[in-house]
Amino acid sequence: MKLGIDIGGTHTDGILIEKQEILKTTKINTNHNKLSETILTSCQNLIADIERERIDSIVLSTTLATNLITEGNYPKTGLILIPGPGLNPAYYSYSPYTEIISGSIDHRGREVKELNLQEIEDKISKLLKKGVKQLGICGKFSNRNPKQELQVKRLIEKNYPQIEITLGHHLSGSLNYPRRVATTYLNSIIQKGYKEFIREIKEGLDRMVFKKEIYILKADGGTMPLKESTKVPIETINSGPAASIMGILSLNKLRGTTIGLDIGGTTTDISLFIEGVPLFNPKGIEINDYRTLIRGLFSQSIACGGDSLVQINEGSIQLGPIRKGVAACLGGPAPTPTDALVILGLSKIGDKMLAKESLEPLALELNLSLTEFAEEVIDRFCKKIRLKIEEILKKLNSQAVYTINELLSSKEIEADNLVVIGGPAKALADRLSTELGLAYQLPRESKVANAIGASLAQITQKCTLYADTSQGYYQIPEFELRKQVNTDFNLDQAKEVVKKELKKRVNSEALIEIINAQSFNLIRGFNTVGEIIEVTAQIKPGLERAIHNE
Amino acid sequence: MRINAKNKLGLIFFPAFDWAISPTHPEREERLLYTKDQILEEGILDIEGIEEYNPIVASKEDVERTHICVPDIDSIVTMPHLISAGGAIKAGELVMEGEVDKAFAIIRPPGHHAFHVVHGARGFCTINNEAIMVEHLRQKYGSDLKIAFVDTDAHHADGTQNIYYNDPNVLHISLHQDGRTLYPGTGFVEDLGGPGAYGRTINLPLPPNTTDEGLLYALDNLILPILDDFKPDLLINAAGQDNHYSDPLTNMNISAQGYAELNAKLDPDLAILQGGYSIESALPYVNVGIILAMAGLDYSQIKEPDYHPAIKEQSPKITATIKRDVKRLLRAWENKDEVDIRKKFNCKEYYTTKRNIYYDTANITENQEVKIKICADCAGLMIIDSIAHPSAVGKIRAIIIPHNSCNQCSKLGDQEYERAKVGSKFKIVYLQDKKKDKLLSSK
Ligand SMILES: [Zn+2]
Ligand SMILES: [Zn+2]
Repeated sequence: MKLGIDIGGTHTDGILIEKQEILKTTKINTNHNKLSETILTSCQNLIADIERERIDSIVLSTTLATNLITEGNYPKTGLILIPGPGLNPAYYSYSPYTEIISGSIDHRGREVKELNLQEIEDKISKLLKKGVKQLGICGKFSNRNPKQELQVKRLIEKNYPQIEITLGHHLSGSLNYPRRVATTYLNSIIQKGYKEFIREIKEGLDRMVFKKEIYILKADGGTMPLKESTKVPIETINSGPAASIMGILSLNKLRGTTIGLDIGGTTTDISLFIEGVPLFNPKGIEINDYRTLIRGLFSQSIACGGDSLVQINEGSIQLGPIRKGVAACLGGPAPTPTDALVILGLSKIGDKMLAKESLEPLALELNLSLTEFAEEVIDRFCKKIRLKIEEILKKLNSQAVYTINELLSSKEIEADNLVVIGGPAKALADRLSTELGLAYQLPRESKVANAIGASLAQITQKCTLYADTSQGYYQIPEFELRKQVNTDFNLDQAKEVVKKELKKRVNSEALIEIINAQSFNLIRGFNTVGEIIEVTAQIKPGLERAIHNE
Repeated sequence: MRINAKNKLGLIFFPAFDWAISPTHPEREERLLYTKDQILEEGILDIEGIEEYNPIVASKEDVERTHICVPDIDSIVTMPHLISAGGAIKAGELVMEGEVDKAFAIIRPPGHHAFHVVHGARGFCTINNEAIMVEHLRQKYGSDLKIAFVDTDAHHADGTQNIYYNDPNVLHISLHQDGRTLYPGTGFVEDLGGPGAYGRTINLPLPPNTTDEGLLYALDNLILPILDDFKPDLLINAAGQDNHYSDPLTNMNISAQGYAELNAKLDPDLAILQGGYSIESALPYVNVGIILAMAGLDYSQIKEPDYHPAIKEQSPKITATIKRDVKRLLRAWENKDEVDIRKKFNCKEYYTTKRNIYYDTANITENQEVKIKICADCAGLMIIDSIAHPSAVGKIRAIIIPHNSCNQCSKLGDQEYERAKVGSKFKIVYLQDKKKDKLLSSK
């Protein structure tokens, strides 16, 4: 049996699955001040009368990390940056407690300028005097050579063992220094709050005598062990949209290119699947205006949902971006698309009279009958979503490529079909399908899709091997691995090494795939002096099995 | 949390990681690898206002309205060339359509050594990316567009100069290491353009070991004043990066700061990469510097790892030479319209000249005889007789009707084409009519 709990902004959904059947679901209100209690209650609801031994796994999806970042009430978090020459570091000195130190590493991971240890000691003691209790250390090209980040870390550990430290190169093997800085900073910010939360959950679940490993959902739609997540809590941001995407995946058989629509109260989240595999956000997740290197499933929000405010603006209908409350038909303060659905008989929730009262003045203003007006609202809603989807596809199709082969062979992504989930999914699916000209699927258990997605998600991991055989090494920064090689080391060997190292670290049978493999001969004079090799491997997000959903 | 560029900048970054002239050639897969790493690591592509675009593939028509390929385009031009030229075209269109304020095409192979008539590759260039772009834009937006090139590659931009030598709407300024000390050995102060565009070709040879100081002196005292006077609709920097102090093929001492400052002051609409083969020590820093300068962002902290202030020091002798030549060229620019063309070119009806062109990449020598009609109403009909050694083709004749051709020159061009086709003197005869935008060939 698998247990999945998705802690959302308003509700916390829980689900119990055995093989391919849903045994039990639960929906309770989320108590943001006591998230651990919410989780425990949800758990109890599901397994009060079930023997603990029958539970194989528990996966949690939590908005905690996201909340800690978006609420913005940050603890004093220091940033030690080793940027070397380049872009003005003022552009990405995200923390008010940022110190720039000398030292630099170049694009091939060579140390160009050594650290000045006295300078570092001075700057750190200055930060600590200001009350900083955690530090992020981040160097340019530290993914190519983490030496200086590690040196700074050792220096801090020796003198101030109580300080929590995040190192940039641990968080991602990808290039992009400002993003690495943001990722390091945010990880540092949330680490303490996150650890506290995990401790509470552990305690609670221990009281319920769980023996099995507990997993947490990551932004990439995969899971990681709870304990491991305390080192990189930043990996759990945006796990809400990830749960929803994995839910869509588990509830449907997807073929071709699928657009996933999760219609919520305030927003509609748009995701993409190609032959049943969710797409990734190409560069990394953006959160609270910070751009990070955290890999997330592709998801874009449009401020247009079932509860969006409907108003007239200069003679035309405007939807959103604000939400005043629930739909008028449910006693809410203002007209919404949901009310229009009720008027048109597409939805049967709430009080139709209340819906009518809220929409009628607007219909009068535009000289339309109530039904005509409701039709207009729904048309506008569907059109807005269509335009957003077109924009997304246009952007995806114009992604830059760097080889002649890719430039000449890249195929345009075109949508083939649609999956709709969320509150008003059923009422809107027909209209959306017509507007988009796409056939649709409407999964039966879509109301608890997120919890299903969480419960069935599996371990994911990504890592990049970078080898410079003329300098005689390869390394995988995510695993803190650096080994010597000679100039015979080649692309095929590199692929084998990555696969082996990845497999070693994730105790799983999941398929490892190479998603990028490049090698360049290093020519100096007229001689080949070595090779630069870069190989990225991943265990992509997937499900053990889908749900019976006929 | 966002970095906002002052100028919207389109970036066509196409390193062609799967193409090389030959495995150990400087123009190989590895050339822009470290530049890519630096651009990615600096987070350049996250800057608001800097947008990345893919190149398009230039069409056969684009090439044929610019060049005369011997014997034909298919024997000379391959896909990588068309993509590199397409990168330049994309950059030009983005600016002309107002989608961006400026664009920088970081493309390879370069183009500025490719002449009007093409028998093969020279100086790593086969077709002239920037000229193909300009000809594309002039067809689309009008041939009266005034274009200015400032070519800052260490080598004389002999190809681009050749294509626009007699074109009054195109000003071509080349700054390069003195031709007596470097390939292709041309580009001297006396070279001021053909009879139809006299004074619109400017060459400033810089002595070996010129530093940022000399480059920026020439910019402030020669280039900017001339541009102020010419008032181009489109200003293009042919941004070669081989005058960097670490370049293995040249002897200049320019730094990334110098390049960035040049770009900030020059303020070009377009920059197109040319040469530059210090792929690890120069290109990553120079390209980032140019990008930041074009985007209007702070570039003051861009520095090569091995940079030291002594690199900026320039000997007084070099300074004196540059000052002297700048003065001469300024005078030439000011007096260009008073010159009696017939007297200057020592001719009456036609100006004729001979030259040899060496193709170092393809190892070909070409002999050309050029004949330009002196015409009061247009730039004048041009006839080029050309033979390459070795060559499977033999002697060819190219008749070129200029953009602003008068009726008489156009008619004459058609007659010359018909006449030359008869008989066996020329193996192939071409008629490139810039005004009608067509290329005819007897083949
Ligand atoms: Zn050059
Ligand atoms: Zn004429």
